Amino acid sequence: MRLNEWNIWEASPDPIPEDRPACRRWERAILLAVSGDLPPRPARTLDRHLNRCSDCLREYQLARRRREICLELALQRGKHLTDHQKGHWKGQSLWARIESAIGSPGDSNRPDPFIPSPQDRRESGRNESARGTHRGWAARLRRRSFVAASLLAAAWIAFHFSEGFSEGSRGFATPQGEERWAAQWNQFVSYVEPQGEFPRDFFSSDPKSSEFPVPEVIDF
Amino acid sequence: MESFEERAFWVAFHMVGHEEDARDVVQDAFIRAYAAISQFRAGRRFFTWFYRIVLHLAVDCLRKRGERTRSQEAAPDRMAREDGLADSLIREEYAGRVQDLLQHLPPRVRAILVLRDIEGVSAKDIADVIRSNPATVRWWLFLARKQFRCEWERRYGKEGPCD
Repeated sequence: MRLNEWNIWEASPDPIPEDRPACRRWERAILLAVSGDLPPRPARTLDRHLNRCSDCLREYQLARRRREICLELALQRGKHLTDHQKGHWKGQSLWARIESAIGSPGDSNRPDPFIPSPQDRRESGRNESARGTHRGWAARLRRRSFVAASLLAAAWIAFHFSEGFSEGSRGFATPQGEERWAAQWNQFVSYVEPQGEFPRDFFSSDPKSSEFPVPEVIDF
Repeated sequence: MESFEERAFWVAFHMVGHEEDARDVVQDAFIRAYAAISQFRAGRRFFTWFYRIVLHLAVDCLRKRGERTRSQEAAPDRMAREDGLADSLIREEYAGRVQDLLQHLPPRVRAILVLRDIEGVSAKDIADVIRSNPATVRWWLFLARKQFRCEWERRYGKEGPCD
């Protein structure tokens, strides 16, 4: 059996008893939020829910405590190995060869094998917010302002270019736009017959007898 | 500060639950990594590649012994310390409970919990280890923690760790 052959559906544990008071639909978010694996937005939603639901808050505290106990296993283990035991296996000499093959510790090409130590993780866990990762109100305000400005800009661009583009390409979004464009087009291409009798005094040399002033030069 | 080799040993130990088997797994992993170092692509993180080898060998070790667990084995020299501090003893007791409980979980669940909750490997790096994507790893992590909680509550009660 290889790692990529694992069937995760076989790993489904027994369902939680129905009489469990915590909200079942928040279960996944709670279990992921204790280690900061929940994205910021769902984490804030969960945070608001925890402020209202004492049962889920209790579940969150229990899950967080269980994770701290798992970390305790990592903290306790290092005290029990002697130097003799540490050097027991032949990996020490092989590791030196592997290290030389992949690059020295200061080499920029060397992939960093850094993993935070259990002590560092415990300290960071103490310093972090009580309920996972949270951004400050200033960051939230900046992000919301950016989103609102982006939406306004997109709406303005859509409104500004929609008519010109749609009329030019005859791709109309609304029937009213098509009718307006058809009316303009017909007006442009149609020859309008003069209605009624042409005014006789239109080209009259006598400006006073003419309804319209006659210019000095008539340019046809 | 634990060295890289020690951390690889502890990953193997938490997986197989036995000190000598864990040392064999790590030693075999070093040999295989050295033999296949040409397959390691530069620019990727070495420890994810190496942890993948360790986990494969640990799962193979469990399979060879028929998933037989040796849960009663304590951590190396666990009881040798006599500091007399109640708090320290409680912490050791909890650590022993976790180690014991891990051995009763399926290997896939155990691997996710060991890498994320005990070793502190990020979901992104775990995805690199098991050749998956972070979203799938988070789903596995949820299932693993759920199963860990069920097993913990079955053994020690719901309020166990918060007493």
